[in-house]
Amino acid sequence: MVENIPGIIVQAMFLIFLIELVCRLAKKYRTAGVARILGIGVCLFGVLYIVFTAKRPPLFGPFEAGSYIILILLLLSAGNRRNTFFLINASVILGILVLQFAHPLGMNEDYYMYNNIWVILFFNLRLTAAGLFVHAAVLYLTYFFDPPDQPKSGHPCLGETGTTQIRTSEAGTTNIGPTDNGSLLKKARVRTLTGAAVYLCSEWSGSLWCLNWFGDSWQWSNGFFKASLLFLLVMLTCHLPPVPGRKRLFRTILGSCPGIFALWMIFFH
Amino acid sequence: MIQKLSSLKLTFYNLILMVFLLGTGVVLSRVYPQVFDAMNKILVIEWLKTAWSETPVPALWFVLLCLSAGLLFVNALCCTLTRQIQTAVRSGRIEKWLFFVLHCLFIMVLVCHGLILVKGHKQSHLSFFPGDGIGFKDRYRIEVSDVVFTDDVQILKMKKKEQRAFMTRENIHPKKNFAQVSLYEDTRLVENKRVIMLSPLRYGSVQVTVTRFVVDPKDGRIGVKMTITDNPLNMLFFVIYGLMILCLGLYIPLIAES
Repeated sequence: MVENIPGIIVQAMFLIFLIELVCRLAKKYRTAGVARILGIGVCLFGVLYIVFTAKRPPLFGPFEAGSYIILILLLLSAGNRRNTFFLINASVILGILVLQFAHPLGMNEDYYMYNNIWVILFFNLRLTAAGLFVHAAVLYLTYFFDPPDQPKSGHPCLGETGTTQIRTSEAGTTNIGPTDNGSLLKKARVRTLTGAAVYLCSEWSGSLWCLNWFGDSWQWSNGFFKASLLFLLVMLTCHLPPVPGRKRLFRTILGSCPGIFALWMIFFH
Repeated sequence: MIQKLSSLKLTFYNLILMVFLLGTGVVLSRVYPQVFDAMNKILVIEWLKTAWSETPVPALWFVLLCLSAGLLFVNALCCTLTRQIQTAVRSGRIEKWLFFVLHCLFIMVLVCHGLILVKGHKQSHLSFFPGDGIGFKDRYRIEVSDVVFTDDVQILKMKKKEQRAFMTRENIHPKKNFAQVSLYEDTRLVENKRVIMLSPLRYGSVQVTVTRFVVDPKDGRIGVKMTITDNPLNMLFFVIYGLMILCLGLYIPLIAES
């Protein structure tokens, strides 16, 4: 029974978020909200189960990574009002759960280095950054599927510094309309940058771990290339040239890349 | 010319090229695992001297990657010193200055990355048993007087892949397993330390790292594999890297509010 707990948690979450998605499609928002709260509870239980069973925070592996990223996605979704956002958010969570089903579910094998602070920070912050990148991807997709009617005041444009910036007349409002779309893009960009900062903290810790283990701050390896690729994808989303940068599809694809790549790296590395 | 070199278009397309090159690196590291092992054992500049004739494909890939990174460096430098500084001076706003400083620090991180490839000293996977010693860089010498491994020695006798499952926090106690290492500079003892896993001996820029414990198959003696490095840039790299993250952390709330 105890060994099956990860499987039970993932199955329960799948069922709950499927109910939420169906309810949102059927416009039964109250039931969908209840399902979401229940989902948060089950996910939180899953993460706490990992912490107390393994006596460390979630680090990697399908069950640990998936549960932790889903919890981040759920917490970051607080404060959003758009139904489209929640539809995409629930779909992405279901997608992550499907990825979990595709792998053996269980706790990772223990390793004596998991007591080391730099090792813990490297793995856990990487998952946190992945959660932020996936959340940014959800925001970009919401922006794509729920576009502004007439972008009168809130629209993406290029900043003076050469970096893409978002200008809104009423930044931070939650009204649904053109201004909200501007703020949605701004939120997506801020989340991507926050993810980048967290990711760099993870890489910094990983470099220190590498230095203490191998004598080098970094090594030529498959993992190093993938980690650098993720950072380059983040850099790409922050350095869009004016012309392609104004195209919604292009912006959405590029903005979603770090989240998608982070998931691929975590589940298929 | 400076206009073109500092353009955002160049940044974007060069980043795409780097994504492609790193993606190729992922594939190459699977096709030529031994080549990438060799790159980690010695300084990359040393590796490159022989790689041209022995493994031209990874060597060419490496040169292209360096060129692309070099172009990113020039691009970032031109953009920072022309556009970004002007914007920061003109607006006087703190987020514009942070944006400028952030890019300056990124350029410095790139420089450190580049210099670490060519500067310093490195000797990897050296086996030491009690009583062994080695000299390096003409003036240093390390001696291993004792190696203590208190956990189950059978784990060390397993193959590397099998070891992983047994090296749990319950089975391995890193603080109790150590190599007693003495470092001499021109015959003068400058450091003596119990070197454990993940806690190397450091003296200035010299670092002596225990990478793993081993058993001599002939006589069953326990020894260690160690790596000796001397890279004065490591400390600088970590400080600049840390400052860059701090700068980004300060910049984010400002743009979120603006």
